[in-house]
Amino acid sequence: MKVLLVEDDAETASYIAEGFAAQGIHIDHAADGVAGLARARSADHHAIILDRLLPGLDGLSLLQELRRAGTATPVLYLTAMDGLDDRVEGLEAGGDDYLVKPFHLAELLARINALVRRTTDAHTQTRLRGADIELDLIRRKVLRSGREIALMPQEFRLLEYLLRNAGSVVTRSMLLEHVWEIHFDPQTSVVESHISRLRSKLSPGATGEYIRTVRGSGYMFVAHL
Amino acid sequence: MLISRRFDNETARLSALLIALFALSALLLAITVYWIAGRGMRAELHDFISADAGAIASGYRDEGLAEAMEVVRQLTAVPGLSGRYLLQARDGRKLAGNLAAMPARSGLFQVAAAPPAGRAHAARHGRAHGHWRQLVLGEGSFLPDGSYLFVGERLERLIRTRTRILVSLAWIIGATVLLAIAGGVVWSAGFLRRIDAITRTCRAVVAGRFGERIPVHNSQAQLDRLSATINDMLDRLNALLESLRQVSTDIAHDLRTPLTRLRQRLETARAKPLGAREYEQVVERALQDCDGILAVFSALLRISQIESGMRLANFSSVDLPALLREAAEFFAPVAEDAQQTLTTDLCAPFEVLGDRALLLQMVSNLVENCIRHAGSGAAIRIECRVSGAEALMRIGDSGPGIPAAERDKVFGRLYRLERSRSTPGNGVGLALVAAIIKLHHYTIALTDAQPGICANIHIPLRAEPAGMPAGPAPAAPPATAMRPATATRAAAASPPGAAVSPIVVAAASVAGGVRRALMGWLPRRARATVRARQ
Repeated sequence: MKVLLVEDDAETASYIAEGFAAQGIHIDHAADGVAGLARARSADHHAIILDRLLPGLDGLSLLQELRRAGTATPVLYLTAMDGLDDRVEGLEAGGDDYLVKPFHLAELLARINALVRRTTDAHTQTRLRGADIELDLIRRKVLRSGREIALMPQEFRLLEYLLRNAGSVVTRSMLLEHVWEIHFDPQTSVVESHISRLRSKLSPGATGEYIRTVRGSGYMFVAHL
Repeated sequence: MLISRRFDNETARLSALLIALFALSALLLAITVYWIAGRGMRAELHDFISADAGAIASGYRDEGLAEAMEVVRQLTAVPGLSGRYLLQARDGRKLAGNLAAMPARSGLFQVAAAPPAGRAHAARHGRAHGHWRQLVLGEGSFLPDGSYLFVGERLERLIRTRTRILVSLAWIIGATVLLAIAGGVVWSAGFLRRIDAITRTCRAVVAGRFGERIPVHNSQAQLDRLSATINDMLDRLNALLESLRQVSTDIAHDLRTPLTRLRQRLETARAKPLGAREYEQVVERALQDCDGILAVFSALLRISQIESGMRLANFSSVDLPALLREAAEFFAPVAEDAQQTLTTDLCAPFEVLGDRALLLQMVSNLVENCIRHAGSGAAIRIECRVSGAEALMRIGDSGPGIPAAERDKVFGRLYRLERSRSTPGNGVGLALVAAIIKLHHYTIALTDAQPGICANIHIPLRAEPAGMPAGPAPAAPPATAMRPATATRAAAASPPGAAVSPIVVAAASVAGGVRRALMGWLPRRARATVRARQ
């Protein structure tokens, strides 16, 4: 996997490059907006990590330029601009995700993985599968080894998101954003509680865990038990 | 005072323009009056001349030349008369009248006639002062037998009157200009004083005295509205400044503590020989501390962002009961895990105008506060109902509650009850709630739920005008917003009015003067006719 990183701070860039290299992801680094735009046009990247405040050409204009030219590569903003409206503005300009500095490397990795998966994965499928769990998106039903499990709507949405990203880590804030549309950090372990409920509904016998806790990162639906 | 002097010049220029306009209009008026008066007087003279000439001619017609000469003699016998008569024979010999013989010429014309005999004094006087006193306007005609008749009226009175009119008009123009100058000076002095007050206040604010305000007289004049607007702006800036100052103070006060703790921990780790496992623990703790600090930091920034009113643009219709149900469903599992019950009592859907994301965060903060502080076994309730023009939202628990004395303080930034220092949390949750409440113009009150504490949020339902609720700086109600427009019209109308009135006064006085002059000027016998005509 090859990811373009447009970031003017050298230290942040090398921190990300090293972290991604450890996961086998190659980082292509551009230090300013103009170079970033040129690199994004010439090479084929799986995803782009874009700072918003850049010398030469700011991230927002860069992305608008890129989208006008027809490039559909998923873009994640990585920025210190955490104003409540900055996110909306960034996403409206054609961004796919928004992460505010300071950030955890694990969070960035998980989000990039999810972005790349989303583009390769056709969203048109009507059934999601992971291990022996099957989720029917049309009939809103969940089956475990063919037997139906009753889930609440919230739990269904949670499972759906986990299944869409089966095999990769999803973080707490990704779940909050995608399942509940919450963009702030709750002060209670509310995500953990939802996960543990879902776990107990999926495997009442506790023979094996479908949803694994990844320490310091988040959760992962285990594709193969 | 550079600004003041520049402005002074500006007012002087405006005043000069105004004065010039005044003077010009007065001059136009004077010319008109002078012309009309002159014409009128000449016409009157002509009437007298025609009447006298008619009388002489009819005397001739009835009884011959001798009778005509008799009529002329009678006419010239009137004491203090202004008429001038001449009846001369065909050969140019004077037959009667008080004028010397002259070349016969018919029609209306003006002659410089010598004074009648026995009036040496008047003649001397007249000559000394110019020949205008001798001017006579008259009409010459030939009687059927070829003798020549000239009937005229002295122009002295007419010229005098015209001069008098001219002089009085000059006085009026002078007075008008003087009045305009005086008015301009008074007006601009008052205006400048107000402008100086505004300048002084702005300078004081620039110099750091943020409490200074421009004195406002309770009128709706533009200058007062400007002053009031500047004051509002200063209030707003002051509030923002206060909030900024508060943030800095909070950051200095409350971030210093965890930063110090972090530093101490790292220092201790460096000083002591530690194993790999212990180092890992130290790093883990340090990272946790950093995250905590960053969380407080961004929460404080968010509060100040909300308090600055920048979120008003995101207001839309929000179904409040639906939002509360969503929050309840979201927090139900975590409450259950804490052996608490979370129940809702919600009314039928209704909408409020607000920022959905912020309202959800407000509700979440309050519910999480209950979950974190109410303790195990507590009952948490989320209620919502509409009564009249307001909605009431209640979020409460049956936990230990908050002592009455501390209830107001909990909404301050970074305030934490002594006993809750041990539980996780950064102390900004309720401050954020307070900021969101304020942004939406809601009110919040904490009441004793016996046992426990309950947050009562009052939501006015009808107050918001279309589109936007009033920001932190309260928007003027429509009634007051209307008034300045009317005031503008009135104020716009008054300067022309003020400019017109001296001219009107001048015109009236000129008219009066003309009438008086005419009355004085007309021969006594004609006065009755003039009066009758009036």
